Amino acid sequence: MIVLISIGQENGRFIFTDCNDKEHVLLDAVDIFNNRSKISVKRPIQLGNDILLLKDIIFSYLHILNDGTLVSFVRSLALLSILDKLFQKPLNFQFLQIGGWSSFSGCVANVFDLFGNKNHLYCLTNDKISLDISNVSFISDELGTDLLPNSKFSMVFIDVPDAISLSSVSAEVFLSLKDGGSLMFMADLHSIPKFLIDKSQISLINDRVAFVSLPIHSELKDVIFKQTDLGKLKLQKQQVVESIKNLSKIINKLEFLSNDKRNFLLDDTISSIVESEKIIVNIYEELNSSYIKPYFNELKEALIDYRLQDNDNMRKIFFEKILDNFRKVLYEMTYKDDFVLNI
Amino acid sequence: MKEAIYLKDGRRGAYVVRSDGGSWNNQQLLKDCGIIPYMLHKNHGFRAVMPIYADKMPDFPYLETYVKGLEFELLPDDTLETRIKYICEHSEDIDLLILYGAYNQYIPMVHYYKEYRPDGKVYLATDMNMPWAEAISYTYDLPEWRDFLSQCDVIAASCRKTQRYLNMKWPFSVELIRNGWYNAANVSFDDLFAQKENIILTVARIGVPQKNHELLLETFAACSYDIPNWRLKLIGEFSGSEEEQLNFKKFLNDFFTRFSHLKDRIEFTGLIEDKLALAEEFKKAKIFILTSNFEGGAPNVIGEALHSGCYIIVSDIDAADDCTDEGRCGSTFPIGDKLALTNTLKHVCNNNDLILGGG
Repeated sequence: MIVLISIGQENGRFIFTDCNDKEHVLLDAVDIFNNRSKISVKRPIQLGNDILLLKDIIFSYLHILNDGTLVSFVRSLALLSILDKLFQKPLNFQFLQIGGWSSFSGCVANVFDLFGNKNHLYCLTNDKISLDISNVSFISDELGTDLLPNSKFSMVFIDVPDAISLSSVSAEVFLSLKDGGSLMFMADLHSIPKFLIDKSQISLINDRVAFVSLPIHSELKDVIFKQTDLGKLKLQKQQVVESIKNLSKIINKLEFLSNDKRNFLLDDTISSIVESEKIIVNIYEELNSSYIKPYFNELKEALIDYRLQDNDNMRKIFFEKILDNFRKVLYEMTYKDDFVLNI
Repeated sequence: MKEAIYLKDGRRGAYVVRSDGGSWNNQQLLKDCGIIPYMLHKNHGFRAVMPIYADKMPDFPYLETYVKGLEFELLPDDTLETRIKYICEHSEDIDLLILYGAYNQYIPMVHYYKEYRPDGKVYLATDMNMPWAEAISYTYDLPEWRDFLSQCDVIAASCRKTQRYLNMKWPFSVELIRNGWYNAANVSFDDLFAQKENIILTVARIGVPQKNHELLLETFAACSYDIPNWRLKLIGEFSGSEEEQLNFKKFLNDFFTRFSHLKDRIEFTGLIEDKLALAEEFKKAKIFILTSNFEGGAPNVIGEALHSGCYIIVSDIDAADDCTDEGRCGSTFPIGDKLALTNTLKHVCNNNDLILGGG
């Protein structure tokens, strides 16, 4: 696809005029290009030569990319966004490019090199590339994005030739971004919910496609995480934890309560444990301990036996069974699995 | 979910349907398969029905004396199709379908029942031992079994070992519902220990290889001089195939030739159907013993023995810990181990405090 719009530059200000003739400043490099950098003196890029080199890299690259294709255009936007971030915080910038190695990747690696050796480019690709560049790593995408680390990257760029919908971006990609990081991609605009459009940097390429830079914050990550298998599992585990916590609050009071009050509390507790057991049954194949399910059932059984007893001596026996099974469940949940109980 | 459909007279229906086309016997009416529906009838007003195939209504003495109210309906033949047809035709009345054992035949029965009564409940009492549980646990891979089990509202095992095993294997809650005992004859258990005598009792089908009564007799003989004041009583009818019965009788002839002095101390009573008379035997015995090589699940007889204050000695079957409350009211010994059983008998019989504490 040939794009008719382009990026303009005037004295170090890079401006994009969108399809509605609205101007967006993508990068204001006036100060840095005029050696009035606000970047800390502890950073390498300070001297005139470095600045000249940086200008050279940017202009050469933008020139190379000025081939009128949509892919090149989007990559130009991505590069300017990276620089914008680097100018603000040029330290420990961890960038993930999802897609094969290209001249864009080489350009980013060169820019990172100028800004210090803690900036790093990760390239998620299946291409077999042998490069000996210290600030570049390749991640195999044989398993897709499933194994991406959590909260690792400052910025992720999905470098694919066509516009994609937001829903096609895996949860792991969102979760791999640090709080305050951003996700860049060429988007089918209709797939972006309005509340995100309001918060994002949107560069309209046409009425349907836009280059989107989506800011990622912890609340958004929480919402996304809860929709992942792992997030759902954690949520279910949390529900179980709540019922166990409720039981722990009453367990030592039971023997000292009047019959009516004890039965009232027990009925509520048993209902909650029954619901939790259903959750355990649903997730038991995901649990590290195969004993949680049977012990949970035995805890429920002991509670029911205790509730049904009129005889004081028998009730004491079943109370001991409740305690015994409660300890077993706690042990399996906390030491053999990763339920967070804090009891 | 649809609301439960009640019978015209406002009662609900609990139906126990067999996996095969046979009938129940009189003794089974006071085992779980009869007690559970009877209790639903007696305590909750259910209509409790047990459809069977027989030429004519079998003779069930317990029906009149102990479990009055259980109903039997005769099926025209013993085919699976007939049992399925029966379930479909009576689905409106069947609020609870009770099944014993995890058998293939139940798969279509439950399938059709749930089609007609999606709100109806199915109780599957697996009542199985570990080899059966291990064999059946893999059937979950079969889609029809997966569907069948997921349509059962309550799945139960009768002993902790198999329950825990199935709970770890299957993605369902498997409940522990032990085979209970019902005091049908309203026997009084007051002043129980004053009535106890030095009797080691077993109640079972006598002579069937599964029960290993040869081991019981040989062991009693081996320690008879160490427990001189004790008697052994075996209650039950001689059972098993003709060959098994013949073999056991040969064994007995040989046994009493070798240990003729024990004839006065060993008694075979035959079957005692009268529950009051049987309860008296349990009440008199200090020790109840089971030497089985295996059991289907938890032995039904244990509940009665425990209720009668007997100290339990049981071979290491799957339900052994359930029978002895993990050693609190009895002892176990390795299956078929004569030496271990001899030592156990000597130790228990000569320790009255242990018997009183356990019983």
